[in-house]
Amino acid sequence: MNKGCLQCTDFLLLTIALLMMPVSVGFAADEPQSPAAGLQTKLPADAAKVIHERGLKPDDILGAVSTFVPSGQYDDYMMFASGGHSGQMFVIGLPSMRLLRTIAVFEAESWQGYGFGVKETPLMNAPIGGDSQKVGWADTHHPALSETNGDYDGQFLFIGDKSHGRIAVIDLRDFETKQFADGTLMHNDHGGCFVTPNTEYIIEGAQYAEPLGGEYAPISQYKEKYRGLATFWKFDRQQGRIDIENSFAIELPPYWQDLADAGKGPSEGWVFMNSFNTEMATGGIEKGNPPFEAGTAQRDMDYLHVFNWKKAEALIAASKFETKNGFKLISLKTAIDEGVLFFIPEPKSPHGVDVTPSGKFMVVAGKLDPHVTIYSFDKMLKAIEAKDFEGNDEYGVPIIRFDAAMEAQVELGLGPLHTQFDNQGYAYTSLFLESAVARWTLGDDKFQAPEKPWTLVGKVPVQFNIGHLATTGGDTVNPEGKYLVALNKWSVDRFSKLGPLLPQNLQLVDIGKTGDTLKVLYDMPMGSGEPHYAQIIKADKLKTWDVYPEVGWNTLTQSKSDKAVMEGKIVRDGDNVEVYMPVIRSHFDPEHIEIKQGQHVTMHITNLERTIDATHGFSIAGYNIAASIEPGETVTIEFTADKPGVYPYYCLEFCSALHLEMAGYLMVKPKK
Amino acid sequence: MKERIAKILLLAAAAAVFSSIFFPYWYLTVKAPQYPKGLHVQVYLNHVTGDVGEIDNLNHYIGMRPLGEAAKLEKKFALPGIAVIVVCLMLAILNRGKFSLLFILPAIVLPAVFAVDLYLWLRDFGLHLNPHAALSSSVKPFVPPLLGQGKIAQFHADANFGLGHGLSMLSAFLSLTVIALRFFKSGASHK
Repeated sequence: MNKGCLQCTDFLLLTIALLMMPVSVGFAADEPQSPAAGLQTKLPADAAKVIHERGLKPDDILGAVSTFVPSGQYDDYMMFASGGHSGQMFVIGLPSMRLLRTIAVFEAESWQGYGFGVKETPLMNAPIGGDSQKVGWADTHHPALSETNGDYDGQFLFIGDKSHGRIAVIDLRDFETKQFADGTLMHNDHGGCFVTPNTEYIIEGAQYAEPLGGEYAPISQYKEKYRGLATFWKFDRQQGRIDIENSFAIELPPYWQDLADAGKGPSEGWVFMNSFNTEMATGGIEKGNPPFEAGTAQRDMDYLHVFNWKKAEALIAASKFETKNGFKLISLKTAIDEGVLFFIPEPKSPHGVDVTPSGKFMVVAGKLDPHVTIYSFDKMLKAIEAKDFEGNDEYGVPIIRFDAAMEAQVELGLGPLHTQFDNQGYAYTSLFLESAVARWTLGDDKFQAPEKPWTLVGKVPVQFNIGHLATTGGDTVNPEGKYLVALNKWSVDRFSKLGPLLPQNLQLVDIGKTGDTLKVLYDMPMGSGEPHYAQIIKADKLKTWDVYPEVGWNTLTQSKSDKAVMEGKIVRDGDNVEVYMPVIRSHFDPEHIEIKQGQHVTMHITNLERTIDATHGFSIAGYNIAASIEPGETVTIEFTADKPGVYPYYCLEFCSALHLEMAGYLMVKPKK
Repeated sequence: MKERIAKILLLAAAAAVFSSIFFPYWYLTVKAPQYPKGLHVQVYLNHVTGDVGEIDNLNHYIGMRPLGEAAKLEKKFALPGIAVIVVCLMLAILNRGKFSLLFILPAIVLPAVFAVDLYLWLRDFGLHLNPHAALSSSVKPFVPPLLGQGKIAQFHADANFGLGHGLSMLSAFLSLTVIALRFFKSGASHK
């Protein structure tokens, strides 16, 4: 209690110091005296000296004290950011903006023992690339946290791979990847992942239209044979797995579908998805055609896709679907006939469509249009009921009249991309071209801002070229309105020189106060991937394990393995050799494994530790094997000992003072 | 009247010693930089709980035997032993003669017997370290503390008797009072 008060006093003093700083820093060059002289009665004298010596400005100090998390204290929020074409996920603490962990998802990662012989990962087991093709990379774009009643529940994390049209499931009890769901209808997707309010479905919007199911058709048959797609992956929360069998897709015109969002509250049961290239441009710059960048931007309006997913689900239950390449598909005709799919004009080649916290409004950021356009779900529904359509597109999809569904347009600036919300009645939209974040007011939503509804309140420049943004709980029914993170694509001059490939710049913005008060607090360089989008959850919503619940834990099935042993043994059955190996500080058991060349070896390695952080590794040089075995975990490694010789194996983690001694020998005796 | 009090005290002593089996007799807490919450062991009459696995794991570096190997016989006979003590106290309720002294005695000696036995085990474990253990050259044989603090390598140990032992002490005290009531007639207050 006392300590807390002391900190309060310190903070007050610092605030006073900050107010005085402009004066003192301004004259620092002329006056040699300490800039914060006389103010630091409670602050260590060194603090003022450091501020002076480092030339920190008041805003810098505010940023520093707002984001510093002392040793042993935890961040309030956890941000899960995609890794772009690093294929992984990043876990970042807020407000410290420290990278806490990478989660290996689609790519091999030896520190986590992911992809180097351990069988308990989807990377080792799942068919990759839809046709069992081995794909060693991915392009992760849009993560989604699982939701219950429209709010993050902290249980699962989903991430889409744009390059191969896959979705991965990550279990947040151990932050490990458990499953890849691989679409068999299209090669790519961009508009995943978005979840329905109770994570019934994970929505994935395709991007570049293709003939569905991996078929061939020349680009001259684009309108006839190429199609767009929306996939609804059924999630089985009990199993922690996507239920591929009960997932389905809806066939769409060959527009390039993009990001989506699920309705909630009054709009629950509906899904909204953007599109561009309703021009159906087919490119071909080399043939003298307009390139895609021009061809796709001819019309002032594209189509917001509006899906009634409850109805689509009922169609699946009633067997009104076809099966294509092993996947359930609702045909475009069925979707139109059954009232599953509607369009609304939307300006212009937009990127994001985002449902407000109340679920009453859908915000479309117009990318090539300086406005955000807000649609009212109520008006949409009335227009559908009254058949207030301006016509149909050339595939027969009814187009709701723009003015019938539009609620408001707010001019924000150049290149609006993506919108999130807070609990003060504001929306935040990234402005890519302007390199800024705009704050504007919602009207008649869950929260009410002091300013006039549907107006721009303020902007803050960010460095540089912001793509997505994320606010704390910003796409849920209960946004927290504490921080915003700008995920900037270019960092240009923000960090030390690192050669021509520059890190991304993730900037933390304080959004706690009303009005035109947005303030960048901190720049975080991300030097190992390109985060596109992120989700920020209150840290106390996560219920993670310190160690696996029982010794002998299979982390893929999340249940106890029957291969765990307390004492080592080697079981030989002809040319099959099974090694049961417990590990504990600081030894493997057994320490000698004698094999004849050509024998098939299966190892079951169990970490017997129950102590937090007592992780061991296992590696065999020459056999491309690297495992990370966390306390309680049992891993399976299989290989054929086809290369004779003596191979030391050792613990990869510096586990104890006798870590170097934690070793053994695999001896492969030549056949002769 | 006095005998009535004696009987109530004996009953209470029996209840106290019986309930002591549900509480730890002895605690050991060891703290080190890498264990900010410390490691804790609770010794009951018939079993040991807490971070036994981790303490065993650490102990193997200095060559100390696993805790499970200590006092096997004592742990086995602990509950029957308590039953005997309780039955003896009951007999002492029924029999107020000289024999009752014999029936009361086990309850009186229990706390001391526990402490001495534990001390001997601590001594035995601490002084008989495996000379081939990894840290045998830096950690010499030692006697872990029975009560109070000690330092073993980077670990600060803090040992104390627990509620179970307190209950056994209460039982012993009540039993002693009964002896005073029964066998030391007309005390100072009656002069």
